[in-house]
Amino acid sequence: MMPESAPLIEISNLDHWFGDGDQRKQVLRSINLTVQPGEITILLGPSGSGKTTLLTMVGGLRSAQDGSLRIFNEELRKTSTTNLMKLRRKVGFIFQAHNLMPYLNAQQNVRLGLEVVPEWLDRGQAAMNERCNEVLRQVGLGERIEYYPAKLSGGQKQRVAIARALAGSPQLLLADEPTAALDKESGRDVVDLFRNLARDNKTAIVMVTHDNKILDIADRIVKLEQGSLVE
Amino acid sequence: MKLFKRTPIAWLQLSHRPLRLAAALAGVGFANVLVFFQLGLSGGLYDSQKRPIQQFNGSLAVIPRRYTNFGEPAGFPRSRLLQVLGFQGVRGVSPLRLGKLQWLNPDTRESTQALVMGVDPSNPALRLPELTAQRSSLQLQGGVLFDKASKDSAGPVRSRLEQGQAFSTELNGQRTSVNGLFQLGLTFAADINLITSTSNFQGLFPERDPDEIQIGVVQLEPGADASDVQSRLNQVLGPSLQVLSVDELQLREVEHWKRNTSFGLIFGLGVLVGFSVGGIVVYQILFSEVGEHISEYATMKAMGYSDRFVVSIIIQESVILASLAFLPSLIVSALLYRVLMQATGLLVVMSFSRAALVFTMTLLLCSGSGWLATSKLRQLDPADVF
Repeated sequence: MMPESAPLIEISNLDHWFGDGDQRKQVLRSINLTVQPGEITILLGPSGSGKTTLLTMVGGLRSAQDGSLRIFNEELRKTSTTNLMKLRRKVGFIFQAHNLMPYLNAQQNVRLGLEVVPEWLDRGQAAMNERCNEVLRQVGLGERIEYYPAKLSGGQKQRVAIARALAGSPQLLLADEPTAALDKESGRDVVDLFRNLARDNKTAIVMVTHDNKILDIADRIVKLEQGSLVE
Repeated sequence: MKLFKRTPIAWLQLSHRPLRLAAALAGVGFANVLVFFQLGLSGGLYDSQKRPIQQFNGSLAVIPRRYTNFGEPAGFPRSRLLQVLGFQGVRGVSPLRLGKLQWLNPDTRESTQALVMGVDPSNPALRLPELTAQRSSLQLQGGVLFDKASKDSAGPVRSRLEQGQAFSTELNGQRTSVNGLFQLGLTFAADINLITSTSNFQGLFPERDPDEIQIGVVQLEPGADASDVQSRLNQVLGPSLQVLSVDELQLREVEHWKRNTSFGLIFGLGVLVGFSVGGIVVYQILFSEVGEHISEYATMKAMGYSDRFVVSIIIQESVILASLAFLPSLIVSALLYRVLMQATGLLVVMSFSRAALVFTMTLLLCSGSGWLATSKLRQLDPADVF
C-alpha cells in the first residue's frame, strides 16, 4: 500500500434507502470503507445484504443519499447525473449478465468500451482495434475476434464482457460475480488478469463473488450483513 | 470527425437482421408510394383542369361575373365581347362556346357526358394545331372533332378514324359524324371532349340564343402591356363581365376545384394516411428494437454513454430507414405515375419539388417516430443492469 497516494474510494457513514414513506427500507447502514489504488477488495455476503447496491453506488450508477462517497476524489453525494456519467467512463464494469450487443462481433463489443473514453476515440480506429484484439487475446479469445455473441458459449461471452471492461485500462474495476459463468481454468486466467491489472496499472478492484477458489487474490475481504459492513 | 471513428452501431443493428430490415424498408417504401400516389392524383387532377385554358389563343379572357369553372360556365352576349374590338392594344377576339351533351356509344347504347367547345373555324379560340390542319373538316355540316384522350366508353372512335373509317353517333338526339381527331386531354368536366364550328354548335344546342357565348379570348397587339389592357377593359366592361389573364383563369380553375370539391380533403387525408403508415411502421420496428435490447442499452449507459448518444442511435436508424426506402419508392412511384396517366388521362408527372417534399416529410416523420420509440431509453436507469 502506498500511503502517499490518495485513496481511490472513500466511503464514510454511507446510508441508503429504497422506496418512499412507509415503504422506505434501509439497505445500507453506516458503511465505512477505503480502497487504495492497486488494492483488490472482495465483497461477500448473502443475497439481499446490499452488495450490489453498494457496487452500483461506488460505480456512479446511483447517487448517494446520506453520508459521503468519494471516488477519484470526487464526492458522489448530490452530484449531477452528467457528472456521474463522466465518472463512469473511468470505471470498468463487469456485470453478472454479459449484456453484449448481439449485432456486434466480439471486437466491436469491446470497442464500445473504448469509444466511450474520449482519449481512445482520438487515437483512431486502428489503435482501438489493435487494443481490442490484444485484450481479447488476453482473455483467451484471440481466435474469436470476429465472432458474434450468438456463436459464442456462455463462458466466452462473459470473457468478451470482461475484455470490454478491461480494454480502457480503468483505474477502478467493479465486478459482480465475474467468474460465475466460467470454467475453472478460464476463471483462473481472468483472476490472473485482475491481479496483473492491480499490480501493473494500480487499478483498484472491488468484486462481489461466491467463488471460494478466487478468494486468495484479495488484499482484503469485507462482508456485508443486512446492510452493515463487517471486516 | 469522431463520428467516423465510431462503430456504426445504428447501421450494424439494422443490417444484422436483413429480413427485418427488408420488411421495414418495404413498409416505409409502401407508405411513400401511397403518398406519391395521392399527391400525383391530386396534382394531376388540378393540373389537368388547366389544359383547355392553356390552349387559349390569346392572353386575356373575358368571362361573366357568375363564371364558376370551365365545365359549367355562364353565358354572355357576343356583342359585349365585340365592344372590346378597337380598344387600344387589342388585336382581335375569339368567342368560345361551351356546353355539355350526352354522347351515345352506338355499340353499347350507353351514354357518356361530352363537353362541346364551339369555335369559329376562321378564328378559333383554341390554339390546337389540329384545328388549322382540319379547318375544312371542322366546317362540315353536322360534324365534330373528337379528343383522342376521351374515355373508352365513347366507343371505338379513335381506332375507326385512324383506320380511315367513318364514325357517327347521336348527340342530343341528332345524327352527328366525327370528322377528325385532336389531342387536348380530359378535365373533370366530362369524359369526352368535342370541338365543333359555331354553326354546328348552334345546331347541337338549338334552345340557346345564337348570340350567347361563354368565354371571350382576347389577342393583344405585339408589345401591348397585358395588365394595363386588362385593367382598362375591366373598367369599361362593367360589373357583369370580368377580364382575367389566361394564367389567372388557370389558377382560378385550380382554385375552384380545390375549394368547391372535397378532392383536396380526400387526397389530403390520403397523404396523411400514407405518412401515418410510414410513421407507424418505423415506430413499431424501432420500438421492438429498443425493447429487445433494453439491457444492452442500459449497459451502454452504465459504461458512461450519454442519454443523447443512446437515443441518437435510434434516431440514426430511423433516418437510415427513411433514406434507404426513398429511392426505390421514387422509382416505383414514377412507374405508377405512367400507369395512372395512361389509365386516367390526367397529367400525372413526378416533379423535383414533389419528390423533395415527400423526402423531407418522410425524414421528419421517421425521426419523430424514432424519438417516440426511445421513450423507454430516456427513462432507463443504468443501475438496473446489475
